[in-house]
Amino acid sequence: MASTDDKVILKSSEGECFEVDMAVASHLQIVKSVLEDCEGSSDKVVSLFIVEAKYVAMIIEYYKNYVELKEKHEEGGFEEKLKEFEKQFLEQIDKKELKGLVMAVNYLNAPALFDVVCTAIAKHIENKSVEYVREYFGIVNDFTAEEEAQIREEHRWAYDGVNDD
Amino acid sequence: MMDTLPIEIALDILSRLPVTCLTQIKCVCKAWCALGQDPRLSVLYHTRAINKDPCLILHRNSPIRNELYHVSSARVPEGLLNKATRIDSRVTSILPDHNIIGSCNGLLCISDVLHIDPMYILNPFVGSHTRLPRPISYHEQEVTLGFGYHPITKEYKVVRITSYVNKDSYLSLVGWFEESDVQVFTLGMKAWRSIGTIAWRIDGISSEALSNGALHWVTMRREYLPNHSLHIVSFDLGEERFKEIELPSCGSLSSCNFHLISLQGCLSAAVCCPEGQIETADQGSHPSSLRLEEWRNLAGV
Repeated sequence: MASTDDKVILKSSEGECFEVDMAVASHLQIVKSVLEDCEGSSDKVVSLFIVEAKYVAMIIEYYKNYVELKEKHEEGGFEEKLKEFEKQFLEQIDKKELKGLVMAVNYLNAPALFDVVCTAIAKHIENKSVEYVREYFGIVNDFTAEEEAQIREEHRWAYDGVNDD
Repeated sequence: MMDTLPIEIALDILSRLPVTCLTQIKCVCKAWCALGQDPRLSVLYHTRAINKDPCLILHRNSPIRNELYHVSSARVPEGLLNKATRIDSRVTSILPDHNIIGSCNGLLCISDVLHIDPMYILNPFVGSHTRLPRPISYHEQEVTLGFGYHPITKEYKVVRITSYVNKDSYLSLVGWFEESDVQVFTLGMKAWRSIGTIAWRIDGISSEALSNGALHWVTMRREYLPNHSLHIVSFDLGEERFKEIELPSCGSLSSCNFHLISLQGCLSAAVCCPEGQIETADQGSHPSSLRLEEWRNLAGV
């Protein structure tokens, strides 16, 4: 693989390699700081130990479009175009994958995408039952039946209009 | 990949939910229940909510038992009315007959209607509350309060201004409140701090407006005194100092026809006009400004 100065290789947890433009990779704070730490070295491979390949691909896709749109709409209109793209981007992601994606994005420290994914997750769990939220995040209920009943009783007003799925 | 969601991510996601969901979230597990009471959440939540879906807390002062409602402007499905929902189950269980001293970032400061004490700071949405410690009280006293948040120090404070009669003075014979004591309670601390006295006599039970991290009161509206003039007194919650603010020269502010309010972050005066309209005059957009003579007229609000 030809590695020029403005390219960097990101390696997923499975060892899969992705060649990315520096302009794209620099949006990932962790990649940026790793590269700054070993400045001068010819090795431009950054291992993202805990991030699976499918998430690396998603993150690269997001920032590739982000950088392109920003260049194309320098004069204005960038934000609307980005919103449009974000909508499409989120449509192709399975709801179950959002959780993995947000952790990957958090690890790579990429604020713009973090914001997008957190908002998407919040929208998804809004008006969902407590049971659904537990299952979605893989959280074990550590309340006793009495404790849970008590909390529910205190906040009965909040349970109108909740979906069960 | 890690299985459990790190707490800071959970906090961020929760801060994007409408307030009703936030309440349900407390039932998910103990860690999330604790998150519901994390002060970081209320600040994060507020900064987002104020941009997106402002929510009103309404207080209904009915005999014996007061009621609290909330109305949110968030996503009401088409064809449905935006209903006010009661949220006072926790409040009435701790203090059924209360005055609202102030509200900020979704937190309320309440006090007993008759005796002022006890006082609480509470979050009516997640049901958490803190009882304030006992302040120093005086034999014959008049108390004025204020509750607010300072954006720089990031502290919530309650200010308690007490005027009292000095029993050793001849003025006590006419019930003259000549002494004063100002106490401050910072949320998270164990006790009140006395910070000195105040040179003005303040009207009303609580501060009328919080803007730019400062509480505002009006001086005695019906003081029976020669040369009596009306002033606005502000107290900066960061510096903990009082300052006098001139009344706006525009509009028609007389002794009892206006209320101080905070409008888009600016200290403003709302005036009730005879035709039933409300006119407002505000202080100019200068934050924490000293050029207080610059009041602007904002019509038709």
